[in-house]
Amino acid sequence: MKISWNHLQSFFADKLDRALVLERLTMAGLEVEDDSPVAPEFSGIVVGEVVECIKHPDADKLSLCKVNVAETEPLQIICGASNVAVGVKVPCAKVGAVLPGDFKITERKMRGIVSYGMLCSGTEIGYPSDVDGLLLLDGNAPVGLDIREYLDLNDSIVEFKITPNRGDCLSYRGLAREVAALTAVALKPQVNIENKLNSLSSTLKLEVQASNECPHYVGLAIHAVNNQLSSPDWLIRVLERSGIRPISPLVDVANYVMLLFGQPLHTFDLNKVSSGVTVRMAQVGEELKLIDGSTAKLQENTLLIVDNLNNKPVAIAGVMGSLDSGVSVATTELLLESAFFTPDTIQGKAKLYGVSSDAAFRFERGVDPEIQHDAINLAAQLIIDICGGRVGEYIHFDKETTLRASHKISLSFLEIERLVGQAIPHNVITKILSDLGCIVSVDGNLLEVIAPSYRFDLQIKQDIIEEIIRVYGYDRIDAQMPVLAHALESLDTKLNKNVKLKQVLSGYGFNEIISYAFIEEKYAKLFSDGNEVVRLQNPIAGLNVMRSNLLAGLVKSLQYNVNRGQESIRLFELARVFHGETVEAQPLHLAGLMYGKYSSLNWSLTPREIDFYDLSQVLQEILSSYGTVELEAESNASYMHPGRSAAVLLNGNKVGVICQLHPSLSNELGLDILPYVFEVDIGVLEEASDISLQNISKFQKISRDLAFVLDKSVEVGAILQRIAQLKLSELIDFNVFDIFSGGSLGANEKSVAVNFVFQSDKTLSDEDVNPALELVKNLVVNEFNGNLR
Amino acid sequence: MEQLNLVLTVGSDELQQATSLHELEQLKSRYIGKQGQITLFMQKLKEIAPEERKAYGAQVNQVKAQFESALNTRRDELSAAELATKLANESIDVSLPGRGIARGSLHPISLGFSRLIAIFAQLGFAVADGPEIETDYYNFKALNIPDNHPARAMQDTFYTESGNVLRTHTSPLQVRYAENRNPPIKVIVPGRVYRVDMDATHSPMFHQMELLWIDKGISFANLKAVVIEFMRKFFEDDSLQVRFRASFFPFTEPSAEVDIFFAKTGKWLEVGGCGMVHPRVLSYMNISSEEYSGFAFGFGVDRLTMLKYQITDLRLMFDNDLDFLTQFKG
Repeated sequence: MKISWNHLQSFFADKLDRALVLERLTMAGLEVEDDSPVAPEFSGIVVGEVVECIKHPDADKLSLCKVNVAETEPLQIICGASNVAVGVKVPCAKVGAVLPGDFKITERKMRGIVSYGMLCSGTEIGYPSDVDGLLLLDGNAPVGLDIREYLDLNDSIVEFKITPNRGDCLSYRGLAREVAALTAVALKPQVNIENKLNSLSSTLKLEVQASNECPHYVGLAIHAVNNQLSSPDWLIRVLERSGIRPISPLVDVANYVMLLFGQPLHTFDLNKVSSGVTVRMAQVGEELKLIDGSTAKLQENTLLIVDNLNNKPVAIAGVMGSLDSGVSVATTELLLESAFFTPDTIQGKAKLYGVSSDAAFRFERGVDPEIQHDAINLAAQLIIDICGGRVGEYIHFDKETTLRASHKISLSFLEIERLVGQAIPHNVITKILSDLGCIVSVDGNLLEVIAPSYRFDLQIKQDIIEEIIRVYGYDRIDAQMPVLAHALESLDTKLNKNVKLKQVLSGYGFNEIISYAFIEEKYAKLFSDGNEVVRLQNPIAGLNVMRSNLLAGLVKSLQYNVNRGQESIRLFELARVFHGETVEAQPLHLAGLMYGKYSSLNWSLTPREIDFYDLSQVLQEILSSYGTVELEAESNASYMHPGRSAAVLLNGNKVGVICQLHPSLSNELGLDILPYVFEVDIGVLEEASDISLQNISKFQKISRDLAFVLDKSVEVGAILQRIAQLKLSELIDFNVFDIFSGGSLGANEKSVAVNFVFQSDKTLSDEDVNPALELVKNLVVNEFNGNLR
Repeated sequence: MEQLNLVLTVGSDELQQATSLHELEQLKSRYIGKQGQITLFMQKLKEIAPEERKAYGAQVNQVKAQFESALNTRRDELSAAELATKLANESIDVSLPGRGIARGSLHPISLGFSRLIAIFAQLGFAVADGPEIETDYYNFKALNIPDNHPARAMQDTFYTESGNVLRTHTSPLQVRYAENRNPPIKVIVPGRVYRVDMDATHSPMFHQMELLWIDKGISFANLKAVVIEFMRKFFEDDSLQVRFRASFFPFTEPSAEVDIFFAKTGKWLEVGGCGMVHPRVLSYMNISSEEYSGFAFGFGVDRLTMLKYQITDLRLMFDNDLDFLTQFKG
């Protein structure tokens, strides 16, 4: 809501302290978003009348003028504008004047003749106009008057952010009431508005079928107006400074009354509704041609104003009129509408039909249900003042309603004190509420409050309490820490788990990223994993798919960093993925990516590329807190390298995948080398039960090696898994320490050497461990077709 | 006897001139070995007149002892010198960088969340988490934001094709968390939220934290204290100015915007919204507003994090540039 500060000031007899008022409004919930002067700073410019104008004897394009500025003698001023002429009134900067940009006007000789000032264009004084050259002022502008005063340039445009509950402040009067309540500066008494509703129509009919949606409707015919005139300067100024484009006097007046009272008015061409109107809900199949020329297919939940003559809609009530029923400059007969449509009825309709209007904006938030008559009377008066014409007959409907009186809010001073946390003196409370226009009655500790008709937002106790402390001042409520007397919360292992996983990964050199949860269709396809895909109705920047895994974000970040010359990249992300829209279908995943060099350049490391095992080790380590991890060759998505991918099993259950991306993605992703990635569902990870310490033996460990020759296709992991399942009691650790092929081995053979470490609560001898080694040998020979080397 | 003293003098000189332990051992052998020059004097003992033998023997022994002492001293000297040389040869440039891989980093948002959670943990808040694709009911309706209400326009919402929403705030967790619990309720909700907005200062995905405290007698004065205290602890500035501006949120009444004052710019900066939980929202939680009251506070974590770490460009937060990320060691 934009306003002219001076126009707001005109509601008060006393001068307002502008800075204070704006501060108080901001703190009380009417936030000032912008405050800009309407014109730049300048001084010494007055209304001047050109009384003589001849050509400069020595310059073709200059005129030598005498300008009356209401001083003893007219000023001699040389002017280069083409529209200068005898009789025009223009802004005249006298000697000593300072124009915007600190440009000082002095006596100046031009081609031998002294000029005592300068005539100004609109642009030169920050008041742009359509006319080239000098700003031509109205013929009755008082000569000698300071131009700032004449054009009301000592004004500023203040823009408020009005929250949806304060529809009452979408008007000058509403804001003025608020200023009065907050600063105790009295409003000027309201000027009486003459009643124009004198003759109830016999020819025009009004039928309100939807009386719940439209409890009040007033229409007034006005005849023989001239809408070809232009609106007076003051009206144009107020509209422009309030952000509304002047159009024609009839429209301008309607807009002005809306700005003033918050009551949207509509102007119909009377000839288009010559038998009056009906207010009813839309019927199936009805249409309305909108002002922009498009046709709205009306839905049954839409309230309409319908022409009685042909039963065709002429307006979507409270939103917009039809293209051909409105007024034009040629209009001479009109029907003015001032109605109250309930917020529920109007809410969502502008959006539904893809339009926006100041009327709908206000009706959606609510207007004062008791102001329709005042608004129409004032508008009629202004129209006649500006456009001539005469008032005709009126139509009206007022649903009997005791809405306001029935809406008493009862509360106690104690309730106020308890919610606020501080006692506010009773007389202060009642004064605040009265200042806000409420009717307050006090009975002991009890209050009964009836809100004014324009404060329809005040409905429950808490609304009243907010009003009290909002005006009293939030800053006057003393902060007070609540008493902490609660049981301790149990440790949140779930959250701790996330933090721990992140910290461990960062310890392994991984950098945490955060990427958007929505991705392009292209990436969704590339990293499709067979899960249900959730798409957005209204995506931005082409990001229309909710990710079902975290790979796209990691890969995009990889591309970004590769393009920036990074050669050793380790990234991870922990975030939700979407396999549907239920709570269960949005698990938390953890994914990591490794790419390029194992380390950055180092004086003592031989550079090497990372490989699968660099990543699988990290994955094993981070998951080791949650159970036994196994990798099992599996490639079931097109983004996976078929020979370098595995399912991640935790305690035998699949929790994720690890792989190198498929080489075929190289071109698509612009990557010469493809990264290794893993992704696990961490929702299923559960901290293994508390760590319980195993006995630490003081006896020597003994170590034995076995080497096997195996077929190349045998998965070593499977052998290790089987060895683990033997649960050999004294075997405390075993590791693969050598793998090779070639040499004396057959083409399809590989040698795998495993080291076994035994320890017990006595000193072990060969005899003690040989049976265990024997079992291992048999297992490898029998189950994996291996041979001992 | 003079001869003996001469041998000692020469021998001592030679010991001093020896430059290695090996040379020293040769001298030892030459003087006090089996055929050593000093040993030979002792062997002459039998040639000495019996009455002089005792004195002679004592003198030879003394010379031998003197030689041995000099030998030992020199041996120590040479050992020390040899060790010093060995150590000098073994010395390395300890200032060279080590070998291995650099540690990684945590995203500043994660660091921000950790600070926030640590602060609220002191006040005994539980931490809750919830879905990001949310139903209209939890995101709007249960928060007293009916269909088509203008308040919906306060938050530009992403809709899925089936009509659910990407949660526009962490507030849906208020009702999700509280509907099956009895007060006292004290919970924080850190999480990701979404709004249709993308420019230099808005990201369509960002982070919020929600705070909910419901109990008997919880007041607006309490809300102020918790918010002020939290802001001061987060920014480690106990004189940070925090102000409360009246505002409107459908799910709180009274409502306030929270601003903090930045001495650097001399300006107030909006950091969050708060208020007393609206009775209608309490009723969606199955909590009696006659018996209980509570407050809620929601704020943008991205902005607080940016202020904390002096990050001035929001886009940096989601570019995931390693040159940015690696500055945030956890």
